[in-house]
Amino acid sequence: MVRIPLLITPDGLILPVTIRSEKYRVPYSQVIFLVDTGSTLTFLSPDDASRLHIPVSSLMAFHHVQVGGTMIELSKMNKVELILKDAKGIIVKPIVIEELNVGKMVRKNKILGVPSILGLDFLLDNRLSFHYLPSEKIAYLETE
Amino acid sequence: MASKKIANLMDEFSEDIQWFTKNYPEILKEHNNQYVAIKNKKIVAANSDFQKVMSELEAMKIDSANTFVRFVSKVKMILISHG
Repeated sequence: MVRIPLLITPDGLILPVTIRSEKYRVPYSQVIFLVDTGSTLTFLSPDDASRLHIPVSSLMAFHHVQVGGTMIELSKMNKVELILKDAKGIIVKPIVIEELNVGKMVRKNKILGVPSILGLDFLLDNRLSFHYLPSEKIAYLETE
Repeated sequence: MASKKIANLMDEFSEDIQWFTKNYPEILKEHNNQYVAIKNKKIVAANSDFQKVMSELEAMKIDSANTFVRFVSKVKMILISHG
């Protein structure tokens, strides 16, 4: 079993990852995902997409979601590599996401600061369990 | 890219997240409703307009893809997402 530590921050429990995509010319880049087991979808936020220079406008939108009262248009990026560290700080085998949702705001009255979300689909697809021990201030994901 | 270099990028990023967490009360007081960009445990740009923060980073030749950028607000967001 591999344990992937989560960081406890004022925003919630977050997973820092390195992301890379040859196809979309995204070099090794840092992203934090807010772990949200109330979300069925994992997606990269519009702000993170912009920060990573992902050509969102060239991606075909396939779905709309409401997040915190604002509408986000989702497109898909194929074969995105996620690099994580285990509890010992060692890089584990990269996870290749066949289709990563990427968000784009579609309304002008957008809510600022919508984070990238790590939803249940990521935990299910990668057979990860989620653990949070508030009194010990420990949070982590673990492979089955 | 060698895995050591990737590990270094990840370490630096994690240190900036930890610095943000540790200094959050002061950052919130100073930059309420702004995006803040943190690099090497320093706020290098802050603005309520995300694109202006990106432009500032670019002007300073700071790689935005490896910079911790967060929106800070006294108003807490409750995320409810559905398709």
